Amino acid sequence: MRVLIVEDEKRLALNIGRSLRESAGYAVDYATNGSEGIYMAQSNPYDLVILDLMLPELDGQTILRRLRETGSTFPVLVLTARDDKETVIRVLNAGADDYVSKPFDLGELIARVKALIRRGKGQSTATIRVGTLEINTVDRTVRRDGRNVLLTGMEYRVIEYLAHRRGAVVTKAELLEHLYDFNWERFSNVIEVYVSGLRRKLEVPGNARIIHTIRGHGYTLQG
Amino acid sequence: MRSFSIKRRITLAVVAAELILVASLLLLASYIIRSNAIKSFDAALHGRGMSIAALVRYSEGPHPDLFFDSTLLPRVTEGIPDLYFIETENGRPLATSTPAPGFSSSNGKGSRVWDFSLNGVPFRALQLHGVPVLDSEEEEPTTPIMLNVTYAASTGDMNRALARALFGVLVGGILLLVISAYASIQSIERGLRPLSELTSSANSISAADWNLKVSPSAVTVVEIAPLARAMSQMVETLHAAFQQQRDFTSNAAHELKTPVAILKSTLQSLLQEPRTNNVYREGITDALFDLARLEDLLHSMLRLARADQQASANELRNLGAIDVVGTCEAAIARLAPLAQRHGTVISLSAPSDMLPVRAEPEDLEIVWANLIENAIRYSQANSTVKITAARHNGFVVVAVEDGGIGIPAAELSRVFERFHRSDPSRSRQGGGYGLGLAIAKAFVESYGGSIAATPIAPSGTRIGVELPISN
Repeated sequence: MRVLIVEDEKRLALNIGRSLRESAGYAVDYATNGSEGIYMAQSNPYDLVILDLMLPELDGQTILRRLRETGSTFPVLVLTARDDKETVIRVLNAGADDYVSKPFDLGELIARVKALIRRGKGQSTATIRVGTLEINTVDRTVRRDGRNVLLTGMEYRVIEYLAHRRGAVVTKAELLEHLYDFNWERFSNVIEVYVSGLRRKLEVPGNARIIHTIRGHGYTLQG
Repeated sequence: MRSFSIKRRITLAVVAAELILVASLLLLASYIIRSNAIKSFDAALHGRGMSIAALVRYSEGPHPDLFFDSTLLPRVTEGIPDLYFIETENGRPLATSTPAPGFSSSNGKGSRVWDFSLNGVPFRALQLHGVPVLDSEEEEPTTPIMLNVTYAASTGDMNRALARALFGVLVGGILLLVISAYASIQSIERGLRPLSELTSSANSISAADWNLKVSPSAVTVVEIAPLARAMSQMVETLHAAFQQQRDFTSNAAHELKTPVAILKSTLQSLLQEPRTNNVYREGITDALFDLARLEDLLHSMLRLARADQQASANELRNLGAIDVVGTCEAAIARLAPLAQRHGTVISLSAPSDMLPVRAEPEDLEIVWANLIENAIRYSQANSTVKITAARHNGFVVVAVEDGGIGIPAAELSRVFERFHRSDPSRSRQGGGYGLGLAIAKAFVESYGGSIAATPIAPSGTRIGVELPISN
């Protein structure tokens, strides 16, 4: 999953980003002002945008409205220091999916981010099941046929993304875009390495194939 | 103070005035009616006395003598009969009815009247002297014999009529009293109704509803209209003050929340996973930096609160005169490190003599420091912040000029508002909270001065402060 944080307080953005990377395994990008925020949100396929309301150049509400007007559908979580009713109503009506008022609890913020991403992908529970595969997005644990499978961080990110898009064909490019932020080098053969690693761990002899390769297109997760 | 009712007071006053009026009317009426009645009673006594005197005549015969012809007395059929006593001039009694007090020979001149009572019945008597005998001998004119006539009649009937008349006056008076008391209560109630309307309207004023509904009737009552106007004015003033206070609180909370959010997220993300010592150290350093920001904001808010509080007290304080230039120099020294980091030069031009102002030196130092800090933050590197201090028309004028980006005309009047920021990102990165100029304004005004921002050509801003000079 890849998240954009639009926040002019760099320290706050970095703290949220670090927490999202560590406890959710998300890729995180940052924008420190309104126009940069709009540009980045429109040019990359984010799974969620965290948006501060008080921003230089363009305020959060204008950004939100513009993004929605141009057809962006990703979930938006608004950060605000003003939590009066009027502001909350305005923000939600402008197209926000949720809001968190400052000062917030990091744990709660991460949980809300996860829930919003889940909802955005049409998933209502924190545990995703595909056939005999079970992915707990809270603990980030994976089980196959009732057996715990230990995955590396990147392997987990790949299987979680595939699980959210289960049944659909996910291209390598899409995986790259959603799993890496700007700080990472992107090589598409890296994906193949992770997928083969996943297959080795999830498709032990006796288990059915679960990650299917659609030649020339990408992968699809199907039980 | 004991509470009292205007309605009761006015009604009591009206009733008391009416009572006095009725009582004096009664007295006057009884005096006039009584004196008139007595006058006509006396006239009647006189008439009857004269006519009874006419019953004295001469007897027939060779030696005529005077006698009282009682056969001619009118028959009295009802009531109390009159009393009479007739004698000749030289005291020979001729006739008398039932004797009564004072019915004796008298030798006075003229007439006299007196009251007496006989067997419990009140009488009034009249004594006439020198009443001539009307009957006379033919042919022989003789010197007429004069009579003294005393005549008395019961005054019972007159007194009863008098009492009836006075009773009528009394009833009329009491009726008048009741009607006017009722009318005054009614008109007072009607007159005071706008007051009670105003009261209920004032009662409905609350933090959520600041609309004082003044009914049109209140404005039409001359005595109440000024009160209604004053109350409307007061409510508006209070509302504005309340609004300002609420805005300030909400802004302050808003400004406090961001540094707190940063501090909290720093500490929480540190605890999320085991870290190396170096990461902990960095985290603690960051947290301390955030705390310093919070502390700064807190100091600014406390300063502002102090300046606000001082505004009302400064006039009463006996402040000594201090030299403005000294406080400018202190502020410049305080900001030297910041100026150096920005590559800004601060220049001060001031007269050699003292510029005396009554103020706390620390407060003025804060004012200049805030203005200079603002100027430094808004000017480019290697520019000069110019400070001038001078005397002008009974004021000490201190101006801080920068060659910075300037302030848009629309913002000029708003820069002194609390938490005002022309560009949120710029000043926040500089560490400002939009309170510096507001604090300066509050302090300057607390010493009876004024502050204003004006643009300077080609670019830059001049903030001028005027403080009353101390003689």
